[in-house]
Amino acid sequence: MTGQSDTMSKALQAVRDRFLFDLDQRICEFEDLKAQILAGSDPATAIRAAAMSAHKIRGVAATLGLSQLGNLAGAVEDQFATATGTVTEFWQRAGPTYERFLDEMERVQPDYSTF
Amino acid sequence: MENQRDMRILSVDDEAIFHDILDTIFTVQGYRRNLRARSGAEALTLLRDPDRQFDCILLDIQMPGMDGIELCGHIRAMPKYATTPILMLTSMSEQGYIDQAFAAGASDYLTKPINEVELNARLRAAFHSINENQRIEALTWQVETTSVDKVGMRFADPINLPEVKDMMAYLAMQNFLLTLGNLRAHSWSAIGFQIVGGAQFFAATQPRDFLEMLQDVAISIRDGLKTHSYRLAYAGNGEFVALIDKSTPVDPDELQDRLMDLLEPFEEFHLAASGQTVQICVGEPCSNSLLTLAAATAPLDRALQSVRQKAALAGSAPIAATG
Repeated sequence: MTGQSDTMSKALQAVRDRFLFDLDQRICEFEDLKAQILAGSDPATAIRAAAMSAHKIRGVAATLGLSQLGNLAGAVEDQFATATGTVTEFWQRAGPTYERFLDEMERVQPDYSTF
Repeated sequence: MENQRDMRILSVDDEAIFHDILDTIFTVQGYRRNLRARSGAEALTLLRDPDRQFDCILLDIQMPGMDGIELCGHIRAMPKYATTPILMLTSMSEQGYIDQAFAAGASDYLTKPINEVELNARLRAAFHSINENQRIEALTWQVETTSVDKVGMRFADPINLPEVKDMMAYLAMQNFLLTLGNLRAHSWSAIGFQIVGGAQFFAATQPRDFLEMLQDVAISIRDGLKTHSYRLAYAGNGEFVALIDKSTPVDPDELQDRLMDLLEPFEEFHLAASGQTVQICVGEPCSNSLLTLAAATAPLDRALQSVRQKAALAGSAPIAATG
């Protein structure tokens, strides 16, 4: 894990496994928030919720050795926490980062089909 | 408590996986007495439990409902946690909240992602501050409740002044500047205040009278700075330091005159207690330049040097920095 000793990295492996196992649920939540934002009924609430959820991933991902995921979560949080303009304008700016973030969450997931 | 790993730690974060990370790090490092809370409300329930006592508290800043800053203020309002080390857990995006956290009473901060070495270092610092706080609290209690000569109190001790609102511990002020870093600390200047003849007052009076005199001076400084944005700490040796927002600059000579006026109502008590009136010397504002390599806390030392020089030039004996 990033900046951790070998002993600590081994100890944190179980936490990392749990985090990755639960990523499916987080991906669903982010997809749902994206749908709410684009539906436009209450986009501000959904944007705030997405920023908060990204913030939580930012805090733990790098500690678990998932630095790219942590960076993308940070980028999403920063863009969503300072959202301005119309939903269309906002999504043009922030949407690509959000999609990269979702892709990265899917990429780091283990392939459970081989288990 | 002889070992930092015996500390009873309460961690407050709404993210379960973050608690799992902390618990793992604590276990590997030998901390065995940690408890978790998932919200501000749950933390307050644990902290209010008369059968529980925590030695150190870790607070996430961003939580739904009550955030870490508000929670920190509630904890500080509880007498049994008035001086307990509170470490804020932040991500880089929350640096702007850190000065609010210090204003609410935080002692230090820790940046996410968590690094085991940094966490252990911060907990070690917390452990040392617990021991120092316990010594000072015992001293303050003795001073307030006994008439025994000096009760082991030293002039250099940075005694707590619990009767004076809005003061911070000197160590917390140093942490505050370190947290800001040189760039953001540049917006603050430090000003030193010296009680002229403070050492003589200390030698001539009972500790309780000395403590009351410090409180009078702190209240006067606070009132003298009330139109400014500031932080105030007692540094020991009869000296205070204030951090003042540079957007509202201070004229030290004008402030010194104002403080003398504000201290006038206390004059009779000070004369009766020590045979001398209390006078305050105010030093020059000190800050780091933007491109300095000096530590962010350097202005505090320079502010104290400035006021010592000014007091010495004004004819008073400089106060020795020893007990």
